[in-house]
Amino acid sequence: MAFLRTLILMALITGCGPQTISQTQLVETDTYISSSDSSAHADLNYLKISKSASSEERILMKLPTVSTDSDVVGEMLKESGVWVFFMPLIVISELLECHNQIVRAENISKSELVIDVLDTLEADLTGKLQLDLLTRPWWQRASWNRAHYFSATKGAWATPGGDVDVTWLHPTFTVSGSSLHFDITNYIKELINLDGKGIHYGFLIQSSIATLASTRLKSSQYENTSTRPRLITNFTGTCYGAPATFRSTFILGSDPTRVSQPPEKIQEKIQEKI
Amino acid sequence: MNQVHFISLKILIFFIILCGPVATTFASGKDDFDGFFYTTYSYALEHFSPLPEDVQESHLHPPSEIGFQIRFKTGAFGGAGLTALDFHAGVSRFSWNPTYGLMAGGGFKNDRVSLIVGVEGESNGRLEPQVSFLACWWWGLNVKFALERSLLRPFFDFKWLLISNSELASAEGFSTEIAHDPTFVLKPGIRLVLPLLRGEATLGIYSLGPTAIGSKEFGYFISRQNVLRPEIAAGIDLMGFEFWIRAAAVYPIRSEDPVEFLYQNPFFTHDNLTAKRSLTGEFRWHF
Repeated sequence: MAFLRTLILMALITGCGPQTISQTQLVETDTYISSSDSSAHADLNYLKISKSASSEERILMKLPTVSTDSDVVGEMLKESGVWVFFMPLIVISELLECHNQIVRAENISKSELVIDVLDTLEADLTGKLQLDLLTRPWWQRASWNRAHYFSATKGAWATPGGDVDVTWLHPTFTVSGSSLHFDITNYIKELINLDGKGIHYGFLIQSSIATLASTRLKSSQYENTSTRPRLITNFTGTCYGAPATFRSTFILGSDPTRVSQPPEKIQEKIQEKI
Repeated sequence: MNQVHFISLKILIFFIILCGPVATTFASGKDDFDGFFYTTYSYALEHFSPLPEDVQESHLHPPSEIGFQIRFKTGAFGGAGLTALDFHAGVSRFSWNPTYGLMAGGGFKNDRVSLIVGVEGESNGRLEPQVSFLACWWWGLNVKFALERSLLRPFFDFKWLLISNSELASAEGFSTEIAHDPTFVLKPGIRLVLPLLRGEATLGIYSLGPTAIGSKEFGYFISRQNVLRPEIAAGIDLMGFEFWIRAAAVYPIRSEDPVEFLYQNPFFTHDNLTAKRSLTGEFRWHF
């Protein structure tokens, strides 16, 4: 597969025309929160979602950002804040290997968040789930009432069950066999276009109807890695002549509006780290 | 307290008691040596509230301490030079191993002033998972200055401390760590020295370094914070045996968030900042 991709790459560079590359990025952090159970669920191999008059369960999920060997706390102390990279864009730039490592939103033709169903008591999940955008950072042991436990005043959700962006348009949700597909193409393009000023705290998946029977989805801890939650993105391999930023920096932390450096300084710092 | 604690404590007590007489034999005379063995027991009058998740008040109770402090005179500075050595250990119900602290340094002392510059370090040992944020060690520079004459003797301590990282938790194969930037401590105070009675008043000013808590997909940053720790103490000296009672209080500047403060503050044993108000009884035996 790697050899095939190299061949495609060489064809691109020698000007054989645009090619479509599909990249799968596994979700690495997810959990579910329950209005009736405050225990931690991050290490389970499933995610639960349900809704009834007496209780509800929702899923928290975040796209991967920093690499596994990043010294997150060291970087935070150095920057007096929290800065992370959006990994899929690194993959894009490595795949395309354009001369100036140029990637634009136009490169992306489709980007879907895909989650497989483990079991469900619902006959059909079509139209019964919605994907929301979280507006607060959350720790792996988040609960219905708290996003994290490191502050008495800043750790609680403003709204129990998770803080979401009410202005964000819910992406199209389809069911294909035992897989759930959320089309987040526009969101991924928007992140690229924000060019270093975007923020990604993660997604919240909840029932969009009044009553949803218990449904379990495969989590990022599921034994079969190919069926774990994943972001599948299709790119067109075309190089553009004008330089553009190919990485976005996403701020995590207690204050989403706090930026310790102006955007141009952010870009310089990103380029240094490349 | 489990078997490990008992064994550790016995070894420690034996070592400390042995060190007193051993240290004395190296001194050429009584005037060239000054040291004392001490033990403390603390009672927390008030705890911070709310506490971090799963943490109980007893987890943050100041440990009981045992230790010794020794000053040897050397030939430096016209005979006023000295070598200083402080060692202590702390034991509590929830420490799986005792905490240890050591200060070693040199300086000079005459009948007017004393100055000691040394290196100090302390380990909080291995603690229960609920208080893993305290399971670190720190080391750094320590400067002690005091006036040695008259009934009222001002003094100050200054410390610059580096603190190790700790692992708070592990989930999904990712570790959540806590890291601290350097902390500065300034402790001005005054001692009252009377033939039988002793007194001491100190104002500890702690500048706790910025703290970062993070895992692969989460980050939380706590900015630098100053903490005041006033302490008053009264003691009685009975021919080489001293009995002290100390009262201390802790006032973080950002008092509205004690949870954040406790994560930022790793000082558990000698400079206890985890109990909001405490009372400590201390016994000293001068060698």
